[in-house]
Amino acid sequence: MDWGSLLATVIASGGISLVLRFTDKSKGKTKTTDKSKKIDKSRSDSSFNPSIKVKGDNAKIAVINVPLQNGKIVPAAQPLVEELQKALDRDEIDYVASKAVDELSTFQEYEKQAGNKKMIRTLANVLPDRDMALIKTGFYKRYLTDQNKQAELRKLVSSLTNITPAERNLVNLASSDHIQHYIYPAYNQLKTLDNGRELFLKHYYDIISGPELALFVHGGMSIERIVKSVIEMAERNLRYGVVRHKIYVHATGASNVDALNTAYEQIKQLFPETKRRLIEKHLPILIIKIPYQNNNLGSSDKD
Amino acid sequence: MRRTITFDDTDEARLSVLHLNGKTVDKENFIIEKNTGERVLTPAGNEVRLSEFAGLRKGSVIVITNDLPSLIEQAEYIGK
Repeated sequence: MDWGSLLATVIASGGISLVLRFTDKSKGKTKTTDKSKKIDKSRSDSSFNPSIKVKGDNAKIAVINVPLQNGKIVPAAQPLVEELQKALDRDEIDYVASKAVDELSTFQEYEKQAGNKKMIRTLANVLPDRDMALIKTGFYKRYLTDQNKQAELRKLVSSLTNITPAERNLVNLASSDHIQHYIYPAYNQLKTLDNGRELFLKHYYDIISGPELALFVHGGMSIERIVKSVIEMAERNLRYGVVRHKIYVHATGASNVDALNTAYEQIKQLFPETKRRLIEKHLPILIIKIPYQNNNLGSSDKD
Repeated sequence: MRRTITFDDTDEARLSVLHLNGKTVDKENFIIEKNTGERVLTPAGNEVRLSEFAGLRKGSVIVITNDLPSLIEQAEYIGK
C-alpha cells in the first residue's frame, strides 16, 4: 500500500475532515466516545489493519485507523505512521479531541442566540483574547445557571479546575453580571477621555487581579442599597469564616461616584476605618476600602 | 496548508497523538517533550496532565487543554 500517496491525496482534499483513530487490539473494546463505532474483540483481526477510509455523505470524512497492541503501534501499521509523520511535517496540522470539538460546538450554538454581542465585540477590541475567553465562559456559566442546566453546569465548573485564581475571578465576575453592569459601562464612560483606554485597562486589571470581595456600584443602586450590600457582604463573610476582613467598593461615572461618596459617609459611621481613594482627581472612579470586624456588626457575630 | 485532525477521547489516542508530535508523559502523567523531558506548558503557562489534553497546534506548538476558555481561545482552529 502506498500510504504516502494516499495520505497526500486525502490531506490535500478540500472540505474533508480527518479523523485519527487508534484502536488497541489487546483490549476488549475501544474506548471511543462514539458508541456506534465500538469494536468488539470478537471481530476479526482485519478490523485492526491499518487503513485510511473515506466515508460519510459526499466523502466528507477520512478515518486514519492505526492499530495498537498493548499501547504500541503494531508493526504492520509502522509504514502508515511513518508516512503520516512525513505528511504531518509538511503540513500545518492541528489535532483536536472529538469531545473538545463537540463541547465547543455546543458553546457556539449558545453564543449564536446570546444577546450580548455588541458588548463582546466592544470589549474584544480592548481586552486580551484569553480574558475574552474567560468572560465568555462566565456568561455561558450564568446562562446554564439561569436555564437550570445542572449537568452541563457541573461539567463546565469541573473543567475549570486548572485555571488560575485570577482567571476564575474573571469568570465569576462575568457570571455574576459585573461585566455588563460595571466593567462595560466603565469602559463606555472612560473611552471618551483622552487616555480613556489606558485608564480603563488600569482600573480593569486592578479589579480582576485584586480581592475577590468587591462590590460594584452600578446605575440604579440607591445609597441605602449600597450601604445594605456592604453590611450583608460583611455579615456573610464573617458567617462563612472569610479570613480577609476587607471589602472593596468600586464606582465609575459621575452619578455612581456621587452615590458612593454619599454612602461612604454612612459606611464610615459603621466601619470607622473605612478609607476612600479617588483614582485621579479629574476622573470619575472611586474605590473605598472597608476593614471590618465582628464588633462593627452588632449581633452578627453570634452566627 | 493547515488542516485539522480529530482524535477519539481515549488515553491511547491522546498518547498516540503526543508520540506523533515528539511528546510523551512523565511518571505523574504530565505531558513532556521527548527530547528534553521538559514539561509542556499551555499559552497561559500551565503544565498539562494527559487527562486535560484536548489537542495541539503544530507549528506554533500550542497545547490545547479541555477547559472551555482554552477551547474558545483556539476556536478558530478547532471549528468543524
